[in-house]
Parts: sequence; structure tokens; C-alpha cells
Amino acid sequence: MPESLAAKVDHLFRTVRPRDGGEYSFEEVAEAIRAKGGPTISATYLWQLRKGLRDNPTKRHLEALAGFFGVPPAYFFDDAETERINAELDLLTALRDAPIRQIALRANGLSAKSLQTIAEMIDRVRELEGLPQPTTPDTP
Amino acid sequence: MRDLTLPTPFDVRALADQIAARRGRPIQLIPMARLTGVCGLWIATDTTDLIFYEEETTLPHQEHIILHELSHVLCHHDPAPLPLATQARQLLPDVDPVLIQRILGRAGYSTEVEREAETLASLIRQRARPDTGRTPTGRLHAALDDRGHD
Repeated sequence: MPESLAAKVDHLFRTVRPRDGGEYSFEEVAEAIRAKGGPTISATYLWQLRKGLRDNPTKRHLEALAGFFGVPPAYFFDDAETERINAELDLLTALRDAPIRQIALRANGLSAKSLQTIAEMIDRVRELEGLPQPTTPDTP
Repeated sequence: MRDLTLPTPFDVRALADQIAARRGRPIQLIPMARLTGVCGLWIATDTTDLIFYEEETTLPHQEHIILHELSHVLCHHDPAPLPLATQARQLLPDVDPVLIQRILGRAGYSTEVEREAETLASLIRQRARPDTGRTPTGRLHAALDDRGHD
């Protein structure tokens, strides 16, 4: 099921967060894009994109936004890529929240489904270690 | 490897227990279904080694997967461990490495700190001698003790 632009933007804000902190603010994102010489994009406009009040950004806006959140621009343009990248971001979040030192597996070019399975396994690490679940708002 | 007594008849679980006892770290073998594309996965936390393996396959295949992951555990302390962020890069080819570093950086940093602490610990161990006072370390100890009187 294809995600709306607002859902994609929202997913990036919820999963790609600064270390030990809450979400990036709209001001921080706008300022970082400006500082990198990207297109002018206001904090208000970012908020509108996330809420679905606006859905007509330029290609340059989306490229700058993808760049800030560290994902390829295809995240916004290709639904197959969106699914795969979301799976990678979920795995990254799982790794961030789990008390893991090392991870090893034989795998190359994993499918979105496999990435999700690994994220599930990593989520179980906390359980197996008897630690409380992290209180992230984005747990499914 | 030489120190391992292979159980007869061979039993991969008994071998896992033996390795765990020798390392002083529990090893948990955890079956998982539908591990498409990945047969097994080893995750080391601060206290435990967790080995996940595909359960929807033949018993000999399961055993082989567990053995492979046990070999990871056995080899673990030979090469310098990579920071988690570096390991994660392989798993997440589409995500910007800078972002991975930003999000998992703390884990990588702590790995480095651990390594540093370990190196220092062995240096101290090498240099520590019973005859304190005669060696530089002994004199250093004495100097540090003196400071306590301030």
C-alpha cells in the first residue's frame, strides 16, 4: 500500500532522531537545509508537509529533505524503495534502542521482509535480557 | 579450538554450554521462523551471546547454522571488534553512513572506550609487580598514595 507524502515525512521525523533526544524540530531541519546551501524551506512549510496540509513540494525540496534525513531521494518517489528504506530505518531504530555490542550475520542485499525479521529479533533482545521496553512513540 | 572437548555423540547444545562455561558468558540458542535470506544471527550484548537460528529447516541444517554462529563467538576476541555503526552499514546500504554514525555513534564510541580500557588494563597488569617501591609503577603508586594525605 503506497504511503502518502505526509506519512513518509512523518515516518522520517519519527524514526530519524538525534542521539539521546526527541525528534528534530521543524526549525532545526529548515536551518540545516539552509546551512547546507539547499533550497529555502520554512519550518511552517515542513510542518504543513508532515500534517498533509500541503502536498506540492518541489523536487529540490524533497531532495533536500531526504538529504537531511540520510535517505536516498527515491524514498519519496518510488514506493518499493520506500518500503525497503523504512525497513532499514526500523532496523536502525531497533539497533539504537537495544543493548547490543556486536552483531554478525551472513547476508547481502537483504529484502525488506528479512530486515523486518532482524528488527523483530533485535527487539526481542531487550526482552531476553529482561530489560524494559523502550518508550518510543513509534512502536507498532 | 584445541582446548575444546567435542561432545560424543556430537551435540551442538552441549558444545554451546561448554563454550559458554569457558567464556563465563551465557549463550542462548533461540529458534526463529521465516528467517528469509538469513540463516542465523549472532548478537552480543553486555552480558549474553544470543544465537538466532532458522527453525523451519532440517535438524542437520539447524545444527550447521548454530555451529557457524558459535564459530563467530569463538573467533570474536581475535580481531579487534568493529564499532556497531560500522557493522550496521553493511546491513543498511541505503541509509547515509553519516546518519548511521550519528544514531549509533554512542555504541561505536563505547566500543572504542572498551578497547582502550582493555589495553590499559593489560598494560597495568604487565607492569604491576609485587615489589612496589622499586619499580616506576611502585613509585607512582607511592606518589599517588601520598597525595591522599593532602
